[in-house]
Amino acid sequence: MAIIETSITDLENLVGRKLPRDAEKLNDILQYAKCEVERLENDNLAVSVEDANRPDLLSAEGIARELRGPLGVSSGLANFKVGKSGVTVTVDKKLEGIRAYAACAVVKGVKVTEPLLVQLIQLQEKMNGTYGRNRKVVGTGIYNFDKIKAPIRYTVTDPEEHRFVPLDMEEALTPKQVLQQHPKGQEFGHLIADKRWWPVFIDANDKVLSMPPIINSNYSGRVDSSATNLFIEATGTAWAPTLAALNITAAALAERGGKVQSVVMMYGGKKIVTPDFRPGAAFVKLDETNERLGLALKPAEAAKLLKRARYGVKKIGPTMKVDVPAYRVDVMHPVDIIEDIAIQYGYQKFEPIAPALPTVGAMSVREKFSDKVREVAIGLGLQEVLNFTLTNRREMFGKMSMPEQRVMVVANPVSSEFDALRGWTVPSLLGFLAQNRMQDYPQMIFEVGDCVVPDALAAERSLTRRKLAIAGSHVNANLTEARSMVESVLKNLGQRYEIVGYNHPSFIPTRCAEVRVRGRHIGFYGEVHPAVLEAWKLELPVIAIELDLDALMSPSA
Amino acid sequence: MIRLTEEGKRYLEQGLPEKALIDSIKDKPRAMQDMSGLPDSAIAMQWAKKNGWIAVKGGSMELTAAGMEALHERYPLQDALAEVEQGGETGAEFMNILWSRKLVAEAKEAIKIDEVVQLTPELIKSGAWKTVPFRKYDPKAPAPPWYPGKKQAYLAFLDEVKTELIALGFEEMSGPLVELGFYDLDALFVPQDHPARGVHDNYYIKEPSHGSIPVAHRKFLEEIKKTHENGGKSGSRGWHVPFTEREAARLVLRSQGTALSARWLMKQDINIPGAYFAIARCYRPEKLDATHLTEFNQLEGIVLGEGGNFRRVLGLLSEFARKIAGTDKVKFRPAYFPFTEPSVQGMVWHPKLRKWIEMLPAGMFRPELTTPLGIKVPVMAWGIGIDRLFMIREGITDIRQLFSQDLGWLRSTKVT
Repeated sequence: MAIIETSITDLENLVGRKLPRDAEKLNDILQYAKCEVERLENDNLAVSVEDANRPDLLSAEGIARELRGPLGVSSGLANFKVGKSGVTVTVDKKLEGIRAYAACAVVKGVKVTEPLLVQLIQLQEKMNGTYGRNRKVVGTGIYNFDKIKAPIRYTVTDPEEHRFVPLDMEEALTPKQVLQQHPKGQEFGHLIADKRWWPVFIDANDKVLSMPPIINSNYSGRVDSSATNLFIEATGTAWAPTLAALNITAAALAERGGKVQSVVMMYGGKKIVTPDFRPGAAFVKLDETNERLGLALKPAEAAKLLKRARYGVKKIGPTMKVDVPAYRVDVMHPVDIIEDIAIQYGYQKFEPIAPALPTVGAMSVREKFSDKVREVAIGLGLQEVLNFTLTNRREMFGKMSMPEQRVMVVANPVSSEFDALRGWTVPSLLGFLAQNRMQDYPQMIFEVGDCVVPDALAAERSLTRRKLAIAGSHVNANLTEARSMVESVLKNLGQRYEIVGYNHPSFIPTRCAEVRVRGRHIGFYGEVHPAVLEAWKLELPVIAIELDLDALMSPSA
Repeated sequence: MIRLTEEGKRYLEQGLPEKALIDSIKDKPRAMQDMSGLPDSAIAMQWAKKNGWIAVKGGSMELTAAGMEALHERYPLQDALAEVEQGGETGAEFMNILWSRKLVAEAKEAIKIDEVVQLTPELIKSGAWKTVPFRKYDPKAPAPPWYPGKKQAYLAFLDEVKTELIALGFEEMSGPLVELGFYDLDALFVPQDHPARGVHDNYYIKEPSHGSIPVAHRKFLEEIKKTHENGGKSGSRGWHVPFTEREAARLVLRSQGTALSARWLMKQDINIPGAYFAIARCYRPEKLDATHLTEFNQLEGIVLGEGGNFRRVLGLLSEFARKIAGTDKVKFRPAYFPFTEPSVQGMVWHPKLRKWIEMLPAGMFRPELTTPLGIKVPVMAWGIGIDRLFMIREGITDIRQLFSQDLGWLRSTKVT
């Protein structure tokens, strides 16, 4: 979700209509572009663009173009006139495997105002950051066309050759020095650093325009209010996003009154003319639309809604032939267009149909069994608690006097407190007791929750196990009490069990036992070892129980 | 007859430990760990806190204004001890505290031989109860607190939610906490180069870092791969982003409940029409604070079958608003979610905050999700941040309270 800053006045000028200055009322309009007021202070407006696949909405120009439809200012396909600049850009074959694609355009007669600069820079930043995957897939650049001599070459350089003064610096640097010294070089250098050759735009005077996608030159790559004619480019590792990014940038400038002119891109013997605003073709079936939305739209109504969403409609009928604007990179399937019909119809106009499900509800076997166990535990007088399943090995093993065992460890923890999934539950309960030394005793608690244990044979290399864990703390807590509780739980669940001696380093020797059902280990209980109590700073005796409910639930598990 | 216990007598002579505690910090704060030389330190801290005498800052204790005052005043509880010692009585308020601290007890030896204190089986059987005098009890005498076993307050709410959904006809789903990227992301049409697959949005497993796609689901893997690359049979143009099985086999902590819906749609015995839900524990790399948990719950669900449409999605959301959020005031806004088209955000009116709150995200699964899984009917889906819904409903401002480690709070919650 991107945040776009603008002024309401600028947005109004672009839309051609007055807009409400009240956030709630403004949202009623912005919703047609899946946008929302993030902040509104005087004339300053911050809009959150909800749709992550709409780079065309990452500037006030794009949002305005979208809003003109529902506001009735204009409808149907936006018509961008494209003249010819006569400029050619030759794309070097050596760029294959480095950054093979470029698309360019010239925009003449642009009044470079403050709002335009703000939006243009913002569009570049947000589009290259999100849609361009931080410039990896695509990045764009803007230049003062009057400082460039055509024809232009998009070619490669040795990192030590082609010195140029990068933007906001005074001294000429080699490309290698740019990567080391310029902040943008440091930030984005990794995109090209491992390549033998690095990409550059060079003009007919052999001047470097830029080293994409890192930095422009300070000479031609600086755009301020003195510029009237602009050269724009997009470079990338795939053709479709490269062309889309150029189209979107050119379209934004056209919204500001710039006259867009095409550039001939020479790929070997192949000529490609960019920008390319020819719409894509899509076919939307009216019956599918009505089925999906639960409406009964007639062809003419659907066509009207499509035009409000700025589609072109070539054929009205049971199958609508639709022109998809060149900037709409999000339209992958007719359902995307169907949603736009729904949005223009107005979500508030839909009449919800109350559910009358023909299905029979049911709890999962696991939850049902867990609920039985919870009922017994509550009957024993225990307070239920809820703990995190993410914890750490220090608490699971170190503080439990246990040698470390294999558990599922997180590769990218945010905190060392939460870097592994718990393999057993008792430590969570001791942690809970340790937080409550000020509370009245006895403290009797339980948790029915999940643990994750490694399992090399499982597709997920682990198994999620449902456990019951109980801890009790008071002056007389002892093995007998623990056994009473274990037996009570098992008997009330109708289980036949066996109790045998058990050694577990977290418990006092001989004061710990194993529980077996059908000959299988399903858990253990005992008096927690004083060394463990000391590690948790617990001053009263504690008994602990842990039973594997998955094993109890199914005879084979 | 009420008498002081051994502990009570000791305090009568030596003073109550909380008073000793504040005396010991009147000049400088004291670290929580350093309680050396203090008698009954845990008790002392508990009561000094309850009395509002001390504040704990950064692991050390400081006197509060009330604590300062208490330093120079008589401690009424100390007087109460003396009163009990002398006459077996004191004010009800103090007697309550003395009881709860077990500083007083019924003094059995003091009972007159001919007065019955506890009715016994012998007295009943022998009929002696007809003649013996019963000791007079004061019904106003306090009793120690009794903490019943009960459900954790948030889990009790989740139980209610489950009951509502089952009553509506939903069957519950469940699945593993460690997921394959295949179910958590690929099946949901998240392209393999998408930022949402990065380390800022998902917890990945260190070792082993990859699992394997189950044999039974390999046919889906093939179809999903084609759908990502060129749309496959879905009618979509696809992402045109390379798709590898290796990336699909990457192990991730479940980052969205929708992974369960994907698993269910792959089941051979899934019901059509069908309605499924889960309260799914999910994980996201966030630092823990008042508004973020690194581990949270999502209420996830799908309804699949002929006739599923957008108006029915809105109908479901209106029903959830009523049954779960407890309101009839709901409105719908266009929204973006990667898996659904059309997508909708259901907003509910919060009367106390006096604003609309985004609460019910939903939509219809994209054909790119359903087609590769062989599902030919529309699938309506939603994923509600149930943690936040509970917070707003209960006026809770700190999300950590849902996983509260405070036994006092849990004991104080009402049974709903």
